[in-house]
Amino acid sequence: MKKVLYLLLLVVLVAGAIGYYLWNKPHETALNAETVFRMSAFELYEAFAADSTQANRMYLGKMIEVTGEMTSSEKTGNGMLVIYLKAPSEMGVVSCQMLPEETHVPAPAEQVTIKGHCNGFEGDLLPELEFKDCILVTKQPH
Amino acid sequence: MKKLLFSVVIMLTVTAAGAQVYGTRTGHIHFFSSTKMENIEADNHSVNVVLQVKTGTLQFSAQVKSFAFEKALMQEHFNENYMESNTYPKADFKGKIDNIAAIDLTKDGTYQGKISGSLTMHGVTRAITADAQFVVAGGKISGESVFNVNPKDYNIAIPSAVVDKISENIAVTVKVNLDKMQ
Repeated sequence: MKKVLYLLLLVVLVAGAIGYYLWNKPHETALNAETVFRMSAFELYEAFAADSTQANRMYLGKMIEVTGEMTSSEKTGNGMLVIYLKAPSEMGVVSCQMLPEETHVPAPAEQVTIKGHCNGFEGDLLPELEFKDCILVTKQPH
Repeated sequence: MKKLLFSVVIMLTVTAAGAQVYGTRTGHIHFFSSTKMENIEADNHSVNVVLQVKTGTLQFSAQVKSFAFEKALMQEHFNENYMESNTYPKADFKGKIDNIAAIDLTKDGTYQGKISGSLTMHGVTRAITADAQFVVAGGKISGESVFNVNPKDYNIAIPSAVVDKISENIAVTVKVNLDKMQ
């Protein structure tokens, strides 16, 4: 009888620990997730522009390192830095919303590599390939 | 000569019309689900917005995966179980300011707008209406609107185990600062 009680207690404790872990598990960001793909911003943008269904299947939600030319930057309403990389279409951009601790702003025309979640592509309205939870992998050009 | 003049006039007209486009890539959408059991909220600060001030045409586009929650687990459930963002990565709104004839968004001031249009998310498109306030100052237009969304209307199934935790009236707040676009 005592054994059963102990076993029950153990089960409750383990379940509680798993629940607690899941509830408090950290957000997946560029700081704690492995890179799945490495490619140029142009190449990735073109893959989405050519066939967004296929590109979504391949890249959506994945942790990707993109390399491209910095064009401009701005801050979101909650103070996050967004770095824009050049896209193959004139109206288009590759936007990278950086993590709060990422404050370094590259110089315009600098080649940078940024790692983050590929969150999706907008083809019609202000064309944009969107990245979030990003870090700057290269601080300086080679 | 007449032809040349005509094309110059056309060019000027097109340029003038083009200058009446305002937009942003960093619009903010916040949603808040409040029940006795739990409050759930999330923010997306990378919403694309385009507004034509002459016609009142208004468009929004948001990546579902860019909604940030306090808890990673909630964000995961939102994406995987409810919004199914791998299948439906975008949410968008296409509509207009119905009373655009009565308000001039090129002049400084505060204006009340009536918005109507279609909201598409989770693969479902529905007609919605909302009130909005626009403030025009220093060549920028800021806009704010609050409206309610019921997940059921968008075929978002809430499992019975958590039905008490997710509201049928999710308050959506939209805040945008629009700049003139080239």
